[in-house]
Amino acid sequence: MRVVVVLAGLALILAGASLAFAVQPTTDVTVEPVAFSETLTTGLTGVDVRQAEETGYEIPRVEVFFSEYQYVLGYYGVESALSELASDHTTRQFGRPVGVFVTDFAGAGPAVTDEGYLTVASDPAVGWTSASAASFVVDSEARTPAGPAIVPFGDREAARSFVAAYGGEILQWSELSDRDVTEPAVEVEDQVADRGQWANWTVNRRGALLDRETSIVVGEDTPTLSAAIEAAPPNTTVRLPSGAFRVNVTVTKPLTIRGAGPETRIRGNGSGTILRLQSPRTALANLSIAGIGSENTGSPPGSEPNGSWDETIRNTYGYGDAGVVFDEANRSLVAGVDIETSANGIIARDSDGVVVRNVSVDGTETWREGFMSVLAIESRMVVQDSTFQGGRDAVYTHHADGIVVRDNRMTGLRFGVHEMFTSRSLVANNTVDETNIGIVVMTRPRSNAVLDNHVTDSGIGVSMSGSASLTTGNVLIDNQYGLDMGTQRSLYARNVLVGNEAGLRTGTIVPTNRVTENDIVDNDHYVSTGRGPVRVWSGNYWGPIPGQDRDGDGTIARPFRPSGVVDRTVGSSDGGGTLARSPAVAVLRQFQASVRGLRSANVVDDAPRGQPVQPERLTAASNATTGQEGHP
Amino acid sequence: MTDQRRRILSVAQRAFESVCRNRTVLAVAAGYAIAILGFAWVSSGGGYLALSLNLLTPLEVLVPLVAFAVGYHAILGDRTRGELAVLRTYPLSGRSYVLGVYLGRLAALLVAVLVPLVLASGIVVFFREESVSVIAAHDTVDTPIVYVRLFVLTAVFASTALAITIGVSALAGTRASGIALSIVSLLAILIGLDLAIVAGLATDLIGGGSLDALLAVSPLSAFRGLVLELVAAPIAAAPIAGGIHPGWATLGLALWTVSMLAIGSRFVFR
Repeated sequence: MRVVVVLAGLALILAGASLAFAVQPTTDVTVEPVAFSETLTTGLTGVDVRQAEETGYEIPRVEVFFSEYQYVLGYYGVESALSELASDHTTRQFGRPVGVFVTDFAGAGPAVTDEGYLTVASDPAVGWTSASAASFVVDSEARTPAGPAIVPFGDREAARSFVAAYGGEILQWSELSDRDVTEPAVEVEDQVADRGQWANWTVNRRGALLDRETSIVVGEDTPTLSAAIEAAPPNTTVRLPSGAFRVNVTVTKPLTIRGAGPETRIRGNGSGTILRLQSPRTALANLSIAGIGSENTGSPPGSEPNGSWDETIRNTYGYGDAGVVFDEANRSLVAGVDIETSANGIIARDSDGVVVRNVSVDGTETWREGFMSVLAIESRMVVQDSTFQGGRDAVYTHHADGIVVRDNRMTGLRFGVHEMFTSRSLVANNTVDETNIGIVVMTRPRSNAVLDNHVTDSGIGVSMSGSASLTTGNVLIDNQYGLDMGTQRSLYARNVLVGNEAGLRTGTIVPTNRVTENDIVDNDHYVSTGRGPVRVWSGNYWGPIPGQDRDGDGTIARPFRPSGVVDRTVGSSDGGGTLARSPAVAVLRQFQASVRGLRSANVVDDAPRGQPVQPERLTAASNATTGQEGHP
Repeated sequence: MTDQRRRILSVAQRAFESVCRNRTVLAVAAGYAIAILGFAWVSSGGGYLALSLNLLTPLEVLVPLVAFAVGYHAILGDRTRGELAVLRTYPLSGRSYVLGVYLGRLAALLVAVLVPLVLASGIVVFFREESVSVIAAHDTVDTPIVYVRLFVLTAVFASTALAITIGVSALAGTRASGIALSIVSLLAILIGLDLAIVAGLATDLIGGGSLDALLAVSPLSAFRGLVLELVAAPIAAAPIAGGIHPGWATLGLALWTVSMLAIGSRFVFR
């Protein structure tokens, strides 16, 4: 071949390619607002959004376009976008925001209802305006189901008239960003102590129900329990001696029914519910219940469909057969009761402040036949110091915001704790084993705390969803998946994951969780990743990994990639560590920390620890593993 | 076409053909191609910026190696076979001879270096992360422009690396000294100059302020600085600055090229 031709060709190509220096790559990606339904949404809870949509209230929304992330993020609530944008984490994951749009209430005829919710007169709904040009009304009367609303206007004049009508002050986007925003998960950390104290206080107060004076002793004063309930004056105790009692009663006054221990046996005839407690401040203690019907679900007598969003669940799940049903029985108590059931154990409907403690529920051997040991519907309860064995779920919650489930033991069920549409809960110190999922939070709620639980031999240890939640201090051993992180903007810290098939599983496509100070050791795989861009975590202990702590700060200088082709073998093979030290691998990794959003699904711990975070708990957990595979 | 130019082209043609026949060079070029495609494959799923940054360090190391393989024997071979003595009798100046050899080998080197880079870009095009259709996607800052810039800068860097090798090849007297000189100069380029700058910083001989000009002295740092400054910095979210003035860096690379070729011309017919 003629060299002249080759040289000329090369010269031509390079001259052409040099034009690339004449074109300036734009840093200002031009973006146009898109329909909110096409964004990856986050922010308020599923319940809040559904309620707002149903009632026609408006929630101010924000769309953010990031420089290194191809999908548009949509936020319900301006404040949730603000807290997200203020975090370093966001820049590291997605790059800079290149476009921020907010709902424009100017010209939409915004008004605030008596309850403080925002409505608009115009139809179709509000349009979009650029955040930097918008005026924001803060501290006005307007609110969302989650708290005070920040209302954006594309036009300052419209903002002024809104302030004139509903108060507040006008700020610009830059001023909003300067306002102090706490990371939502950190807020939950502050609230956990309060939730525990509320539970302590509630349990203490319910204890008084056991101190009521005895008015009737069944067998001495009356022949049957039904007659005793009929005759007893309110706020007294009906005592049951040892023996079997065939009953099927409804209590409609504040009474305490107290047995002499498990040998006080209340027996149903094998169909229907045994005890229906329909008054506040009723109590049931020291007895055992059996002979419950086997219908898992039912329907309320004479109910009319009212079109509420959760009608199906309320009206089917809440009306199955059970040992005890609380119905609008606030501040009631079940203590020291043993229940044997092939359907539900205890159902609470619309009963706040109910305490279930020192209870034992024995359900069906195969979970498909049984149902829930404790079923809380619209009931903020405390469930503690109890034992649940068999059946479907030990504790199932439906819209039971603020429920506290602690210090229980759950074995051989489908799920240990199963939260639906439930926010602000506290699930702590439970010991769960041999379940499909130890603790599962579904339906995009908010501010839940799952702390210090111990889940072993299950399909998934803890499975979270929703946002602004806290999952800390849990010990998850010998499960298929230790921790399933389907949340957004949540914190996972100080968990110990040992002997699982995969320690962690990443869920949502938007990687906004903070994962730090966990001990993840001796799992078959460190992480199982879903799709989406790279996740940047920090400060976890992954066992012995390549790299050194050069400056003695406890952190290994080399970032660890638990799902990377080389690093993921480190835990299972010594060769992985040797390969990871190769200059070729070092070269490969050199710049892989600089541009993140543009990369494919992967996990990077940019400051892995050289030493365990909680050495004692890790050692205890390692000793506890059997080395067997997780329960299917 | 002047006689001089025709002679240069004849020498270039001869040099080009001798490279194309050389199995060692072909093997090195193939190894380089596999390495580049391998590095690119590992970063698949990312965009052009990620690919450019992933390839930067491999290119810094591998391009001088390929240039060495293509160039170290260029003039030394003619000398040891006695052909240089014959050429001297022709009406051929040292400058024309060195320039011809340089151009001939450069043609081969650039093909070997640049073709794998073009293929590597295919990985970005054809192995993009699958997108989720129900969710609105928008353009990110990523653009092929940054990769094309890397392509051009790599060509410039390869030209400089080859000029250095050819210069050294002209200086060497025997085969053994040729290999030794080439390896020493290769190490000097790859590690020595940067280490010297680090040493200078450590002993306070160099102030931090003069670094952005001094880095241009090391071809490797000049190339790296240019890539960071012209490829990464314009669009990366976290600031990645080259810490070097593009003018100085370009001047540094040009001076290395011209001066090494000049040295070669001066000493080839010594």
